[in-house]
Amino acid sequence: MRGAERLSGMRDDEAPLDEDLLRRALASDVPTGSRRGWDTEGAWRTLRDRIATEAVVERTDDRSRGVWARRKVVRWLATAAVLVVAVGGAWYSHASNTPRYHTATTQRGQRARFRLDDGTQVILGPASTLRYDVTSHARRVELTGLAQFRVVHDASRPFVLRAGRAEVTDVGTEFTVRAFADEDAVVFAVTEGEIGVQAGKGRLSLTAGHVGRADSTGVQRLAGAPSDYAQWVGGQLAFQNAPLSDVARELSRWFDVDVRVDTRVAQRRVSATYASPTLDGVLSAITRATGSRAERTSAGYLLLPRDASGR
Amino acid sequence: MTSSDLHDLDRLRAGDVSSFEALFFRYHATLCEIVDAYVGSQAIAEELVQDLFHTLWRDRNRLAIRGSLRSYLCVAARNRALQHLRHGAVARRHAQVAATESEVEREPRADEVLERQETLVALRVAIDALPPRARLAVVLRWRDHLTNADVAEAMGISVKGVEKLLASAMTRLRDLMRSHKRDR
Repeated sequence: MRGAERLSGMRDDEAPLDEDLLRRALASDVPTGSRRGWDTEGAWRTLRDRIATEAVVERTDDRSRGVWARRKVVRWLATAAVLVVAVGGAWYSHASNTPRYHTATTQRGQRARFRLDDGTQVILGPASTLRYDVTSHARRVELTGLAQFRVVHDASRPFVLRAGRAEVTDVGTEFTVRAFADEDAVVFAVTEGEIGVQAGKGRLSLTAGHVGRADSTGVQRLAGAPSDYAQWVGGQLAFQNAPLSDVARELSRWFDVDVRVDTRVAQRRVSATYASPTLDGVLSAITRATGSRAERTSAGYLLLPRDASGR
Repeated sequence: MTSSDLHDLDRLRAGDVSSFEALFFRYHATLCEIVDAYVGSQAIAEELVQDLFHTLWRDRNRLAIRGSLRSYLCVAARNRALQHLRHGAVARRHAQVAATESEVEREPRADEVLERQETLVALRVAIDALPPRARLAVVLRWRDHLTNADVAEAMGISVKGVEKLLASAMTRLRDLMRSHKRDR
């Protein structure tokens, strides 16, 4: 062996051990003595999962903190009640195609801002759940609720989102999806780039500046500006010709209270934008606009015709 | 600080995971060696280094790094190791990892491996059998390609101290290699 020959006849007063020999002996493929090597790959996977389960969470119903102004990092273990982000499913081998989903969930009155492993930025609205599996070869995401995505372009692994009956493919853009289980349609609003939406047999390509909806009948384009559907990201609450029944559900999610509607006023409609919404302020404005009134109940509020009694 | 460190640090502050990954792969083994030299357990070293990187990510916006990123990380690793020792949790955690490490300790001893006349393996075993701080100096110097000054910074000792450690390590390694040669 070359190294051994160099060392033959070496005496104490000779030059130190050959550096090249030392370097080669320290290379990772040389079997070790009492030690094992460092598992940097494995350690990285563990840490990556750990940081992927952290997000910036904020109350939507507490204006005093400012929207996103004061960031708060929350570990899910410590604050299960605030934001639940968990890793679902058992560890799977990289050879298998079984998705290993992470789940991020916000409660009513919360929004969360975080990044997926590929760098895609997500802002999750109140009472929403995002399941995601980002690997080296695929990006799969499932949404219930409200979210805005800023997707990082990566041609080698298309970004595929499932929301209700619709499936969206995206190659690098910004769009908002509204897909609450208690609403009939899934709404997509594209602010940058282009997405493809498929639902049932319908298929639609939506470019920046356009809004679309998907339901059991297929996919169609909607009038209106995408920004109307993205205002919640900046802390604004907006309604476009929305029946009070929808408004009540939205207020419940936003302010974490139960707002219910008497059937006699449920179909009265509201169009409004609130830049810095407070529950009292919004209730007062919408009741004035719809000829209704809000009555305090044990769980929250009930919206009634102005001249009717609550009983 | 290397230019790639500066670049990665900037992108780390912006929340870029891939630059964080690059930093992790660049420094993970080095930092593990440093912590291990103090706490004497590979399992605890890995755990403490994991926590160190986690903190780096979490506090990336508040990082005040004056010198080089490497020296920042090396000092942080050393501090965590010393803090761990101070906490007196050593005995308890040693007991926990004893089970996983006892198998490793039964691997061939230096003299057994020498008989196989595998020079590189023999040398590696000899290096791994050095006193922890001497071994750390050797590893940082020749595996991680640090200069003597960088090793001194990483270990928190003087350059002269590094030279002494390396010299004594060399003497021991040379002895081992000579006896290896003789036994052939």
